[in-house]
Amino acid sequence: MKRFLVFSAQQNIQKSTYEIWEKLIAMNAAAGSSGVWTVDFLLAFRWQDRDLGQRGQCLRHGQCQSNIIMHHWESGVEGLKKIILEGNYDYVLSTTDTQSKEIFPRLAVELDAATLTEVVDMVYDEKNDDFIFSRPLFTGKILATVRRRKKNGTTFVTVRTNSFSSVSFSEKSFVESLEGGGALTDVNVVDPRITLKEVRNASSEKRDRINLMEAKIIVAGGRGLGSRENFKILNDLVDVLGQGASLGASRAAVDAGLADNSMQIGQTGKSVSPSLYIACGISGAIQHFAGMRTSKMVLAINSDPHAPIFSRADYGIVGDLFAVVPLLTEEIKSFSSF
Amino acid sequence: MMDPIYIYVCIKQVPDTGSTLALASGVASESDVSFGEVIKTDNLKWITNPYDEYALEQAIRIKEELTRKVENLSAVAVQIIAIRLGETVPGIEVLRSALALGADEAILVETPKHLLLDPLLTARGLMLAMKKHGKQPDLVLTGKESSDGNYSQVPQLLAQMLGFPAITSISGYCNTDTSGILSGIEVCREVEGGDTEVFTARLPLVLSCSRGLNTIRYPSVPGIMRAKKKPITCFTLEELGVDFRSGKYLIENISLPPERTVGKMFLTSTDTADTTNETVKEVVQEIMPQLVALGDVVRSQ
Repeated sequence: MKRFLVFSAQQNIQKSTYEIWEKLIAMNAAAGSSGVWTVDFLLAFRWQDRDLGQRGQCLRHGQCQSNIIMHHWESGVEGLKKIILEGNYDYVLSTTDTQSKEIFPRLAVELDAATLTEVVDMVYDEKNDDFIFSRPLFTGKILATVRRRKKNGTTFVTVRTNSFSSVSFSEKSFVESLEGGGALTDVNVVDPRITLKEVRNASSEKRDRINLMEAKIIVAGGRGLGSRENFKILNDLVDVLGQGASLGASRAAVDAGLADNSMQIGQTGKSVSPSLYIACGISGAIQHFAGMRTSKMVLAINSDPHAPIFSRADYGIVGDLFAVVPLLTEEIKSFSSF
Repeated sequence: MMDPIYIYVCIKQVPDTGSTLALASGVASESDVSFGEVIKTDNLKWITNPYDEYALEQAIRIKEELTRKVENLSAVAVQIIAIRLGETVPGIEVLRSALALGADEAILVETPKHLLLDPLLTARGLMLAMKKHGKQPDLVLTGKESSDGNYSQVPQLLAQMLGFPAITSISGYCNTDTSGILSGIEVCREVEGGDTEVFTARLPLVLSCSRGLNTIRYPSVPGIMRAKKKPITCFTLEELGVDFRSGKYLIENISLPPERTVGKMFLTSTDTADTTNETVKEVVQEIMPQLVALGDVVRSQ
């Protein structure tokens, strides 16, 4: 009998949060001898714009039933600690995001517990009746398998996005299943000693793009783009690739002022794991590779046949990106609208 | 005369990103979390963790700014203490380079060789060393994560242990108060979805630093000379009362992920648009059906 709490503190429930739930349900189904696990959801919203149920019972899957616990974020570490202790959870899991990364280590200090961040896989070990986790070290150069030393107490886990796949996710139906009960109000800041002065909203263009870390397809531009304006041709490509696509950049492009910091993929930027990574005019420094190593498929476009990116690409096109990318956009458009 | 403002900067040394990691035969034993048997560290080139460089640079900028301000006000001294928990070699080098850049003193918490420590123990060691050193931190600056462990936990753990608030992954900073001390700090960071959060806070505080915060400087020759005279205090994990075997988890196995094999190359000639067109067609026919099968691209009829 295992007890899990899946934590989400984002404005919208992320696909990756749902994927954790699905993964746990699937593991429970496969681990016949372990009994029925409890998988509860803890939803802690910071900027309340949703009218969700206070506490509902929902998400049935076979024998498993998950409780939804709504939480006022302002009660912070103390409030969460109480919920975890009352629920006697073995594992508290979340997708790797700003909120989980901030709150889990603090809770770990309070509960003298372990936190495993950036987990990419999780398997049930029947022999020990516990779990073995995989997580990258040295920016992905090494993969480590880890388990907790003692089985008692709570362990905190953050899962890297796109690590567990889900086919049946629908945010709408998930949210609908939460309905019933009262509303939440006045949920504000992380820590009462800090004031959140303002939130500068991302430009609408940026907002339309899916979060890089969740993106299934990423088009990334390097110094080869030459100017900020030239990123438009990559934008056009992203547009034809649908809702799961997003736009990134190499450090060289960011340093040269061609793209925003937030778009940077690589060692000092974001680590991404899309199904397809299209590298345009990126030479492929080791630091860049560190951020996109776990992409399932890589297509590189570069005019230099000796660019290191080609040694890491599944498909490489040696050619002028300004000629190749627009053609690619056209070709994908006609493929997709077939 | 007011007490100085103590700014601690946590610094880690990590293998250079460019270095190739190799595994030696053997398995990590159950009794400890030693990596010595499995990752060859002999020939590695070590660098300062890139994010920690932003933290140190920010500390130096804060000190410069406050020192400028206090010329007209009451004397507020700022002391930057670089602290590192790890092996003596190569730990000492990163501290020397921090001293050369502008840290006033350094602390080394020595650990046994080849240890990849549980972040909870790392934070405890750092916190206890700060206590033992006797200079109560006002501001703790760290990188947002290290490029080797990739845990991204120590700043938050440390904040909780010290009883401080923390703001993580900051990419912007300004001091909004005019009193010469840090009573009004404004920082910003970008969160999921691209929004930027702007926070105000006061000391004491932990800030973890991300890219975009500043542009780092490089050591000068006089700086390197001065660094030789600056004090480095050493503690051992043991004398701080931290048992490195008391980590919460075990690393059972480590492996190198399979290297990507060189894929299918297509050459285009820019002279003939036709060839390029054919190449692109071929690539799309190869890639797109795979994405459709994965459910990542939907074909509309």
